[in-house]
Amino acid sequence: MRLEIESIDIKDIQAGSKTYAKDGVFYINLKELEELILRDPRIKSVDINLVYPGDKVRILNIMDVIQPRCKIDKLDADFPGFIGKIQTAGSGRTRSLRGVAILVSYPSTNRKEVGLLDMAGPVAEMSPYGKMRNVSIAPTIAPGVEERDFENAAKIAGLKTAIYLARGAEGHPVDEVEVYDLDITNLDRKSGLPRVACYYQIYTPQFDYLAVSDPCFYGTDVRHMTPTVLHPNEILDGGVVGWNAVKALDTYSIQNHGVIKELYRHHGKDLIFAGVVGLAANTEPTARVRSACMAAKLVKDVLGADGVILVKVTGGMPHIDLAIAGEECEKLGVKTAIFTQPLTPFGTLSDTILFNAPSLNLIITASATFERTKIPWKAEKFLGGTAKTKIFCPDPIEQYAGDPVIDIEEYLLPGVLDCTGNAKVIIKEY
Amino acid sequence: MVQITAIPNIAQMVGVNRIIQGRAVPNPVGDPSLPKEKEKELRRKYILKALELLQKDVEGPTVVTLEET
Amino acid sequence: MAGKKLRVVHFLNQFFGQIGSEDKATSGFVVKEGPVGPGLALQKELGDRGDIVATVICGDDYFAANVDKNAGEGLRLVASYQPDLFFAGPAFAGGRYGVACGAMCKAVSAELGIFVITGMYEENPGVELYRKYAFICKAPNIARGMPEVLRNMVRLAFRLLSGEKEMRILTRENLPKPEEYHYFSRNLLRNEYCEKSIAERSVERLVAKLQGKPFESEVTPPIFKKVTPPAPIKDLSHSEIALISDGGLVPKGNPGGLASRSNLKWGAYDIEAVFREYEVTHAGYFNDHVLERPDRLVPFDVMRDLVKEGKVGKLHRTFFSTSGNCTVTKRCGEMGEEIGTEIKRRETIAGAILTST
Repeated sequence: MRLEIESIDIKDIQAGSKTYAKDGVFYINLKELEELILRDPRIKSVDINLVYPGDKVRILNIMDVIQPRCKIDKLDADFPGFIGKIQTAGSGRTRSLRGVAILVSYPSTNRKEVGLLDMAGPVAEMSPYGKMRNVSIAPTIAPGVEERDFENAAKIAGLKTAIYLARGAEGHPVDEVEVYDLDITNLDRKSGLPRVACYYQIYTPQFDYLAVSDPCFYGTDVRHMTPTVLHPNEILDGGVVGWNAVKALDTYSIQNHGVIKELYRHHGKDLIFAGVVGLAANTEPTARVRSACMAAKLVKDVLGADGVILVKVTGGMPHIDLAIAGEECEKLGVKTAIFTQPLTPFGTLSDTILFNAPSLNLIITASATFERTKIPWKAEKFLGGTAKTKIFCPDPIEQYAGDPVIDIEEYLLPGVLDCTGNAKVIIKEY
Repeated sequence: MVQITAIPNIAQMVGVNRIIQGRAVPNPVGDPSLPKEKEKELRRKYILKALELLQKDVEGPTVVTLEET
Repeated sequence: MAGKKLRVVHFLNQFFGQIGSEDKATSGFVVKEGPVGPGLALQKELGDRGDIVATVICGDDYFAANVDKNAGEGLRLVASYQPDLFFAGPAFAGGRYGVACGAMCKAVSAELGIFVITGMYEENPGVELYRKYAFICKAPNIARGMPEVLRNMVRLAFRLLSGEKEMRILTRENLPKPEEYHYFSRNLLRNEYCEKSIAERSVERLVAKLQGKPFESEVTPPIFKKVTPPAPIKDLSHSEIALISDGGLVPKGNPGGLASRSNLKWGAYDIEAVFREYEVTHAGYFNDHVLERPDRLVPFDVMRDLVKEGKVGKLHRTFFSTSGNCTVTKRCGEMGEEIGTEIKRRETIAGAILTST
């Protein structure tokens, strides 16, 4: 499969009477975008705002962040299963806008753990999205619509916005073309380079809100998916999106999957990228072990890998799924590099690890997702919520978006830590 | 003491000696997919298994699943 | 604090405090005005920024006889001088002295809220016991290293007092890097900015591993101690069983204030009362199944039946509860011991079932 991502660098965004891009400036017909979003009867109204680095704006109740992208050479093929017709993602030409992110908020959500982004201050400094020019969309729920159904509507609105913006830049010169070309069936066997696969935990159902799994794979959920072989391009090109809540993971990160892109970078140089095995973590122990064995078998016998990177999803329980799969891989002779995410700020790295099999001897700290940080910064404007919006804290304390200091866990700050490995973060003992 | 957990690996790792493999993380001795009476029967099986293990000698971390006799 | 001279108090043992040698190890607290012994060099390092207003001295054996009580006594003496900063030792390899320095630091910090700094050799037992509560600078195992250790202690003190944010960590706290300031890490973990992304590091290291080259793991897992299995219960039909859970089931209103993540507390609740009015405080799993029917977590219904049927002698009326989500392993171990101790104290309980999420 060959995918070409044609990226356009956007230096500024502005409201305009027409949606188009010229000389790096992107003009958006906000009225047209609003009409597009409101075609969904589940959405009563939508608040659309353009936000810039330095704005004293706090965007609340963020459920996802998305990069504007659309297919260039195919019709009805954007985010297949979510928007476009179901088909395998990852081939052909895709347009991508860099420097712009779509922030999707669900202002009246009942979820407690939701994303937050400031366009200035410490959060903006920590998050890549704080340095971009963003389109914030905050839809309101129409009467009689059920919560989970509305979450889907909001997600779809975000994806539609992503497509609309990317399409709008048609005709603008392209700044960079990235080629992702991997023919898994005919991979080079002569060079002697080791074959490396990616074991990719797409989801964990332990946080399922109202007992419903978030659809994040071709428009459906993956809770009961058995481990399966995926082409990495499917993940880069809209087959997988973020969950309905930011938990150190969002669509933008997945579209730019850190480990997948890094394996591509090394492909043909000191390794052969052998493919991806995707799966969900399991709450039941028998399913967990079965899944681990199946995944290891796919890595070894189907992808023929010599090595595998086990990429973890947010949560405590997924460590175990990861570790058992890692052990199974090592048993089959596949060398592993495995992620860990210490769950508490106290102790040593040894104290906080949840597995200790001797075969798992290459462990990478993939950020402490629940690290708490104080943000002493006051916003003047709030989008997707108000100054009275409650900000989640695991301690039984009350804090609100308008407070001069908030105490928040980093996994709720989109882009700061991401499970795909983009964060330039390591955990150290202090 | 006997521990009932759906993540027996961690219990084994830290050295818990008597471990029953539970149903699932959000419901270690329950199953919301079952009707009330059947669920209680299932729960009873888990507890009886746990109490059985409490009455047995073990030599080190031992994980028992519901299916084992 | 600019312009105002720091009031500094220094703690020493009988030897460095010039009371006497091993023969005077049993001597009690003595306070001298101004710096004493190594305090003179310490004062030089402080220069104009601070004055050692008092030196509190205590014999190693005296202090060791009752560490907590003596730390309290020492604290009162220290507090009477209203210090802005506290130094102890350095103790080098002296075990009793290291423990005394650590205990003094812990008490002073907790009560007065000021920075507390000491120095020890890495094998000094005081390091493991007190590294969380004080800044313990690294010292060699002989006193000839004194000038350098004192220099480091003061340098660290000034850095802390400056309030400078450590911008290399995401939390931007005033938390100097242990390697840079030569102190033992205080059992804290922080996300730190790094040149290479998580993805870059993992691919690079895996390639090295595949090439048979040396590679570095970022974590070395521990080996856990074995626990001797307790003897089995002999007669279940006459035994009392207690229920414990880490799934966060608590009485409505969460009177014990358990946290839904990084919780450090446990509670003992009347089981019937909990089942009448309850809530769940645990953010690591989807709570609704348990909220709908808490027996799915704590098997009260089945235990009641088994008692009625005579299969189990008795169900203990107290339910022991904690919330085990993303929290500190050592504290969990402590909580387990505390719960175990309480269960034993009650004397009637033969065994327990712990249900975990």
